[in-house]
Amino acid sequence: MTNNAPFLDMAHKLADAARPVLQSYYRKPLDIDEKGDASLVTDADRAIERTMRDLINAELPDHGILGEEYGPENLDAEYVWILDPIDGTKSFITGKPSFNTLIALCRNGKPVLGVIDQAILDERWIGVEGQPTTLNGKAVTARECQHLKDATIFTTGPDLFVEEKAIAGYEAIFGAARQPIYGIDSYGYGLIAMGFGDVLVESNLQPYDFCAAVPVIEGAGGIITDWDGNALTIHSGDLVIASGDKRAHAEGLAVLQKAIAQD
Amino acid sequence: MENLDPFLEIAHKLADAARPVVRKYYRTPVAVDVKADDSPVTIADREVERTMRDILNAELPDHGILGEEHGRENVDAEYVWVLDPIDGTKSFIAGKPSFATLIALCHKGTPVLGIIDQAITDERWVGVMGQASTMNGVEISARECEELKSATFFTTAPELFKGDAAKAYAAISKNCRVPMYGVDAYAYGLTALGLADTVVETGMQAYDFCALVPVVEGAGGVMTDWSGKPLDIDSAGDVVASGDARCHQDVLATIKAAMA
Repeated sequence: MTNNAPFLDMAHKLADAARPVLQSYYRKPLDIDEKGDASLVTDADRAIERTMRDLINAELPDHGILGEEYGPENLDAEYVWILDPIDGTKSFITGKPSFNTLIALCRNGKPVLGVIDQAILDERWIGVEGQPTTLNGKAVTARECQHLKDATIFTTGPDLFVEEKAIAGYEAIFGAARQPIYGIDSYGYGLIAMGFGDVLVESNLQPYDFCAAVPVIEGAGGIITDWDGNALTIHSGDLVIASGDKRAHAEGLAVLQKAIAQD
Repeated sequence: MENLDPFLEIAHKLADAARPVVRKYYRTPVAVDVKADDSPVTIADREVERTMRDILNAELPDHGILGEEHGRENVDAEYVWVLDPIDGTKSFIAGKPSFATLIALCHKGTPVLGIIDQAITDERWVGVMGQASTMNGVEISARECEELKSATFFTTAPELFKGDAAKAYAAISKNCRVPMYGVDAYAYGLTALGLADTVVETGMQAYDFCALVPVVEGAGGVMTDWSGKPLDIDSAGDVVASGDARCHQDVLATIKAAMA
């Protein structure tokens, strides 16, 4: 890719547009006995995604868009933007700043640009295919972790693994790692890209939950695949594993595969 | 008991002294195979606690101190400070800003003053017995939540519950509305802010829970052990904190039934 600079500008513009909306809705009091919390987040989600879509439609009308809140637009285009205005809505609702705005650009289905933006902590990870990943403009790299047994492993919550296969995989890989850390949302990809965690596993993900992480993790020297070891695309399934070190990743995949086969 | 205002001033001084040290070691590189004794968190923990102890020894020499890193000093004193320089060391090591510096003052064993300080997000919760809790100086209050089934429930990690405690965790996580994980002492701050409803943890030490009690209670919440008894410096570390006393009773009953 030679001409991603204008698209990178657009990615920044999209993330910039999300921040003030998120900041204005963050930690607003909610009556939990009503459905209010869900709808409040939906309002914020929709407002952000609408703004992002308008920007893309105005400036890059031949690009497609896949987002969480509104329907797909022009998915057969060469370039498709994948948007998750608030990834980690439960964390957002509880005032826990591990949620993120996720923005990805896929070319022919493959993620080539990704943004993980944390509006409260003022942290923005950028990954561009073939370039080093940055956090707030500074290059970051994943750390070495040869073996799964030495790994700090992240996931959001144990009860998010619902399918039998997912539960078997989760239990096996968490049992084999050194240090489990929970409640991470997509913030975990950023931490792995900075060398502060080693492996992340999640299930039940949609393309807008993982596409942005692909260039961020790979540009930091890490690897991210599905549980079969396949590269992630806009068409991938819901099971994701990301690692800072390819050797721990290979061990993680082996553990997942064995657990699923025995299940 | 004396007026607590001068002690609150000291508590702020301790938290202020902890911050630059915590920040200095935050997100410094950590090798995966580093031995616990020379990890940045251990160094930071010791340095922060030393700094706080020096202030206390100089300003309140007749007070006792119980800390995670440097043991007990004069813990039979009427007033004892209970210090956890970095609560949530695993989060600290992973560069996740949900750890906190915890500072408590106990009077005859009862926590009467507590600070939860998050050095990276610049958030400081303060609780003083008989006063409204604050976050960064603004009064806060917990929210209503009648029952566990409507509650957002926080804990750090499921595998910390072992044996019968695992049954209690399973029952709570199954019967609550939303289970949330991994935020350490920060969860009690969120409960005091009215953004979460109940926190259940096991195996805590006095320095993990004493600071939380005045913060939660000053926000209108309740914090006890798993049998419903008030927490003091000698309590065993199975704790529940809830924003609403009704939800708290529901959680206690759920624990009792699960462990029966």
